[in-house]
Amino acid sequence: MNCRSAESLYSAFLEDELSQEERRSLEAHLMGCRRCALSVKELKVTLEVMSDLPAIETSPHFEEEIFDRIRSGEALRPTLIEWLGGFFTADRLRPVFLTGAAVSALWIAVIVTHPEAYLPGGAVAKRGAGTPANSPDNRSLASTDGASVTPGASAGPIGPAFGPRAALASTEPAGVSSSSRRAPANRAGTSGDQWVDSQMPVASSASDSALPDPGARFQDEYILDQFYLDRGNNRGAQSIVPVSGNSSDDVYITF
Amino acid sequence: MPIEPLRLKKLDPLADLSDEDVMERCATGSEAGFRTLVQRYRSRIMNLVCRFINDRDRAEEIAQEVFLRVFRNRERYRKSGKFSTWIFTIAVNLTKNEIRSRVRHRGTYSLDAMEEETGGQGLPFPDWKPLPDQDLNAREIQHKVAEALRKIPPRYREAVVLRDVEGLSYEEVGEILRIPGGTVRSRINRARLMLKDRLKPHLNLEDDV
Repeated sequence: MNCRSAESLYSAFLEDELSQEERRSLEAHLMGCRRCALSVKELKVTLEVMSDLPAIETSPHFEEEIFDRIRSGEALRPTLIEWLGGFFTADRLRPVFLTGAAVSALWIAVIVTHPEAYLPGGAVAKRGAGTPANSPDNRSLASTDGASVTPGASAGPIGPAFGPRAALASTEPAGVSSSSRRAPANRAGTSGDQWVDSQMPVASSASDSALPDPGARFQDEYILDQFYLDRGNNRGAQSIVPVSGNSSDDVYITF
Repeated sequence: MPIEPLRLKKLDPLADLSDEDVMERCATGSEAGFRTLVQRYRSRIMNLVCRFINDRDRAEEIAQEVFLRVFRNRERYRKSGKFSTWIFTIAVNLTKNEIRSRVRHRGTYSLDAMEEETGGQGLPFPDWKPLPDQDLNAREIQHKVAEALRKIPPRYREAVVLRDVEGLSYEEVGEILRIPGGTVRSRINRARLMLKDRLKPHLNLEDDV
């Protein structure tokens, strides 16, 4: 044991709070270290002096002054903290907490049972099942996971997961939007997370992948949040189609 | 042989009750209960506050405020906790507020910074005045102890005063200061060593080890 570690045990030694092993070890150190032994002695006297300090008495009117202040009511006005402490008691807060817990539980239950309505992830799953994979809907949704970027429409300063398309996709009820829109991606065989160059026609099968099929459909392309470019195929006309799916505004421009 | 008249000694019905029981009565509106608590704790609270801030007049005001807070919050006291811990916590908090307000008044915001600001020469409070009817040597020693206490950093001072002046247990000190047991012990040991170093020249110890 060195002097520094011995010093940390002085109080416990004087108050008899050391284990037998610690005591033996400290005593062995004190036997050989004159400086530490003197320190322990000085500390013992200091503690005695401290415990002998006389009590400081209050003035003779101390008690009556307190009762005068209580009777006058002057001293009974609570401080702001005391008032808040008295107002927000456990009895008052309990119903608030219980109501909050019940509402939270209900909300979580709704999210768990209808994830497509509230969570972007749930919406992806639903759309992935019910919507053709390469539709503009899925393009926008795929961009929310940050794994891919929409061709011709980069993520911009906000980034793919938080851009307007992600917001559009996550806030729109999936069933309504996917069914009401035209679904050009039916012509392409890619999954929602998989992107191909929008300028290239999509191969309809592995065998004809080397040569472009004159009848193959081009990938559609998002133009703005509200429109996508329906490229059709190399025989057909391209058109700009509103994402909203409003049938009266179905085709704006035809090339 | 004349027969002495029977003297009936007026007994305090609360004298045998614990602090917690008396406080419970006080919570139900017993003025006698509150008076008993004031009488039991007035000296200890005054002592504690005075050792902290070293200003007798202000210490008395703070001690009164401690009892007024006990009275104001009597219905919020829970018997499961020790009354002494509760009242000492109030006293320590009020005293810390006092120290903070003094520091702020001086344009400094940290308690330890105040110690640094004074260059280890102690806190900017009036000197402790010993009682006049005490033996000169004892008075001198007490004066030195008060001075030494004043010069150690506040976080060490509060721990050592609660333990060595008020005689509270380590657990109570930890509860009042809201610090873990190990920190309490190391802080008190450190404070005692600081006090020992400051008092050493005045203790007249013979080097007979």
